[in-house]
Amino acid sequence: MDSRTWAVVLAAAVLRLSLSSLFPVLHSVLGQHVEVTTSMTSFKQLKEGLHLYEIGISPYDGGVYHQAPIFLLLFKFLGKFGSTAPNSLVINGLYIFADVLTSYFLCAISKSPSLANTDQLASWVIASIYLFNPLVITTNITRSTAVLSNAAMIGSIAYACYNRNLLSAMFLALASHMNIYTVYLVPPFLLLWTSRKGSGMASGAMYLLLYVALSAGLAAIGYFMTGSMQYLSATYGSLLFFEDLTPNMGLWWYFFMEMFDFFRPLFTYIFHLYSLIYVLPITFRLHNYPLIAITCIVGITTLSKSYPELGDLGVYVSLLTLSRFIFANVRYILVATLVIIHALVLAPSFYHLWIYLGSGNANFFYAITLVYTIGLTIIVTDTLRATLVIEFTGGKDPSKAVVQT
Amino acid sequence: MILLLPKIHILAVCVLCHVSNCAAASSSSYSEHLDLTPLPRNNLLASFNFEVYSDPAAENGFRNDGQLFWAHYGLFPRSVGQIVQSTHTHELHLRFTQGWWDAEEWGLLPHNGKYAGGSGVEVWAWIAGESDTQAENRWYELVNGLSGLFCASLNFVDSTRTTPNPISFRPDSNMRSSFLSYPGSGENNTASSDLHLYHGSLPRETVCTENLTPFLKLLPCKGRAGISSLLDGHRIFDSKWQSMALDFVPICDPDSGCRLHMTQKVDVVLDVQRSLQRQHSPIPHPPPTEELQCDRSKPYHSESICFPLPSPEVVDWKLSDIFGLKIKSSCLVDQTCENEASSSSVCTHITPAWRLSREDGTVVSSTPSNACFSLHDSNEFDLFFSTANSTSVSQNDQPPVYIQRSMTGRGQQNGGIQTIIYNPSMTDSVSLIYLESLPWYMKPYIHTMVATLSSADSAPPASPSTSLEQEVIKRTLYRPFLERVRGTYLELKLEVPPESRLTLSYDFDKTLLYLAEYPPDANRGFDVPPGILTVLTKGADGNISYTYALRTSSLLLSLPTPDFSMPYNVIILTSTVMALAFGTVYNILVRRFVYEDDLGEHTPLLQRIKQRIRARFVKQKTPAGSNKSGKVKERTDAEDRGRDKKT
Repeated sequence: MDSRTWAVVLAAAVLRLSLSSLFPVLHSVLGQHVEVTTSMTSFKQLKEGLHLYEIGISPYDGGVYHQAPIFLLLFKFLGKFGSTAPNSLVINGLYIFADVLTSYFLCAISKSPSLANTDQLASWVIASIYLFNPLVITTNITRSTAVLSNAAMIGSIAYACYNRNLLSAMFLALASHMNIYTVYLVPPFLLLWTSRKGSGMASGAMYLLLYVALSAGLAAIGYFMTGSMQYLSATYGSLLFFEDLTPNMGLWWYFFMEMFDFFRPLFTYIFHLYSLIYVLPITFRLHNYPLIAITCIVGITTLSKSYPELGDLGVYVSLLTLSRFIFANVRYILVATLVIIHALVLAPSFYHLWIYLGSGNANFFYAITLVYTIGLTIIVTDTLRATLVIEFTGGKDPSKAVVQT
Repeated sequence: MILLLPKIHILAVCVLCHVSNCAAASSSSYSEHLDLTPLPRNNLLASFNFEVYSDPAAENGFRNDGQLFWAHYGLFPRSVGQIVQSTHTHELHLRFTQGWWDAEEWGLLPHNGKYAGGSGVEVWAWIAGESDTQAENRWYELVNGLSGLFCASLNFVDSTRTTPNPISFRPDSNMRSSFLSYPGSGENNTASSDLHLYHGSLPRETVCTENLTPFLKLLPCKGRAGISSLLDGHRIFDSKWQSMALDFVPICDPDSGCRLHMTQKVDVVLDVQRSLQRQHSPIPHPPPTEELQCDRSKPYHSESICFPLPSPEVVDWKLSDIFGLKIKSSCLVDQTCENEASSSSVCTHITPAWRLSREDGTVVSSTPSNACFSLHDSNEFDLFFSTANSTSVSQNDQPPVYIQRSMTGRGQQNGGIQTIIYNPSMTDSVSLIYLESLPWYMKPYIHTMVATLSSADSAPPASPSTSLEQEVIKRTLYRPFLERVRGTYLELKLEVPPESRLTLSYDFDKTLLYLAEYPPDANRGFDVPPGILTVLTKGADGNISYTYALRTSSLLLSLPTPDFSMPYNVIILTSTVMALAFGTVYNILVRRFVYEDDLGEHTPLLQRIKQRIRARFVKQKTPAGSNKSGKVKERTDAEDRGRDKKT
């Protein structure tokens, strides 16, 4: 990383540190916003789980804590160095480190040999697009654990770009342990390894083996920590059966709230299938562009997962910046950006109208989540189309119009 | 140290002693008892007490499986007896309570709170079972049976409203007694380890006359004679506070064996003025000027300006004014007993300022202010109360502790609970057990619990410290909620120093429910069961006894609500957005790309649409077809063919 990037990183770290120390109330204010943090990543619930774990009650024997056991281990360990209050030095350090690490990985991806022949933004631009993204900063201030799982996810992508089999598998296992939706990235990763010249299949199989072994290892850590496999149902099970209906920016909560009891299992199945169904087609269709395939899957997961949060959008946007060359062919980026800004502005106000003032009802917020989803859909489909157009034209003669038949 | 047995109890105990002596000869026995205590501000506490014993078990049979089995209930109500027996219940406590007990004005709860429930319906029972599941299933059987018997929604006591094994309750009976043993079981009785305690409450349940009627039906005279004839739903439920209790306890002693004992109690605080007004003018209207009682100490008092006194001091009323009925004869069921007098009696607890007289005008001398009347003839019974100073009431003891619970925060996303426990004693600290069972849709954060202690003179609360929490909270029992399975269970053992106020507070999150889980009036809110505070007293022999119990008021929790008219709209709109995303992605992924130039002659989209519309329009207008329209059609056909070829 060059000096400019270092300056950006330093500025971002100072910004985060000063935000949390000068405005300590920010954490609790933003932490109340359902758009920013969900029950799968909430820091308050993590603290509750940690408290229960420390007083000897299994945090997974109840509906309080839905996050991975590794967080308990991590925060208990950090507790030895100081207070784990949201604005304490230790927690500040951890979250700033995680964000800086993510931006470092992003820069590394842009410099990777596989992207060497593509037009890339300067490192400091990529870093600042991530580090100064208001969505990312907000997520960081709320101390959502998605910051950590996203860092792991980007790390696995970065190491994959540098052919580091073990490290990539390790980060992917960690990321999917923290956030199960990261499992969707396994097919594009396998494609990445098997498409390598030489020992294609072997390295793919090796990668899968490593990933499964490391995941099992993490699961075993969870088992030894809590003494039972109960944590599986409390973490992945609650995500699977969607029992916590706290509103978020996704499509699930209002749908399942209003859904008739009889059809609920059917639609739970359909919704999971819906988020899963894109993975393989996109992987195969974009086999020439694994990074874009990963980006698209991350984007679609952001709109179809059960507990999405705005931090996911921040990561998706940063991943998009790594594929600069497709931006010549996108068509609706302005529309989509405006739609998303519209949703981001109105979501908190409509939520406030519904929950605090009582002058609006749930439909207001629901409508905004629909708008947000449509905005995301436009971005995902537009980038997907732009990539395929480039694949078709071979990147030359962009003046010639291309249509799909 | 704090608690003196109230006078009510001493008398009741005497009645009991007598009954048991007397009943030794007879098979089953019954006694009833009414205590009348005027309270400040012209309120009257009426405590009805009915006790019934079954035939001793020795006279009954045993079932093949060895379970105790009563063939002859005697005066004991068979309906309750059978439910209790079939569900292997060893002890049952049922409470129907409504209103609010003003502890600061009225002092100690009747019977030290032992028979007072939280608002709504409360039930707890010790049930025998070989496993948790078996006992739990029996518990649901029991509450369903009771639900039918008492016309209460007790069948809604499911796992989410059940608290298993709280330490706030102790059995009244000696569970290790011979009740559980049967011939051939030997001395080694481990049955008590198989007893499971379950506690359930329905704070929202409105207690009303449909619960009172079955309650009275259990009595031998079924509310038609004796003091129970006073229990008219119209008067009992038009009260400031009322509590109906039914307790089923097996009593065992080595001499006479085991008997079933059932206590039914109705405690009610009636507003005397309100009842009297109801008597002479059922429709409320302002009293005439000459009847107004004014506060003459006010400087502005004059002929035309009157500041009404809070309650009149000169009062004169009779029992039948308050209850609308006279006591109809006595419910003398225990004919074999020689001294029937104590089995049916009315007692008053008044100060010398009161004058008590019978219907025939005989004035009853009231020394030492407790006059008892036995009902042993078939005449109607009435009692006249009059006083020149209604504020003079027998001094009720101060409760050992006051409690107040409230909700903090705003909005429907999250909030907090604040409980203030005040120990008024100057010298003694008080040890307590505080039980809170919260519904699962309230998600508390136990790590946010803060205990602060402040002295009584409303000094600012000391900053919370862990040492303080350790000092005050002796023990924490906690079980987190599980969505739709069980609620939060929190039980704290506390020690409140003298003359200080303990404030406990914690945060919680509110959650959304499925559409069908909301009650019809969802915006009214959801009731949170009352917290239960039990005062512990260490006796001289080192045994800890539970001496006083009180409940907080129930809380109203408002949850965010969805739009109840939207299911189809939401399903359609969400599905549309999902289909939009899926359709677009699918389209992009599967369709082939071509250069637009390769498509041949290109007509701009707008122009094509125009052409098509025009073609259709013209065709319809002139069905025979003009030259011009035919051309257009031909052209579009040719265009379609061309496109087909290319694809």
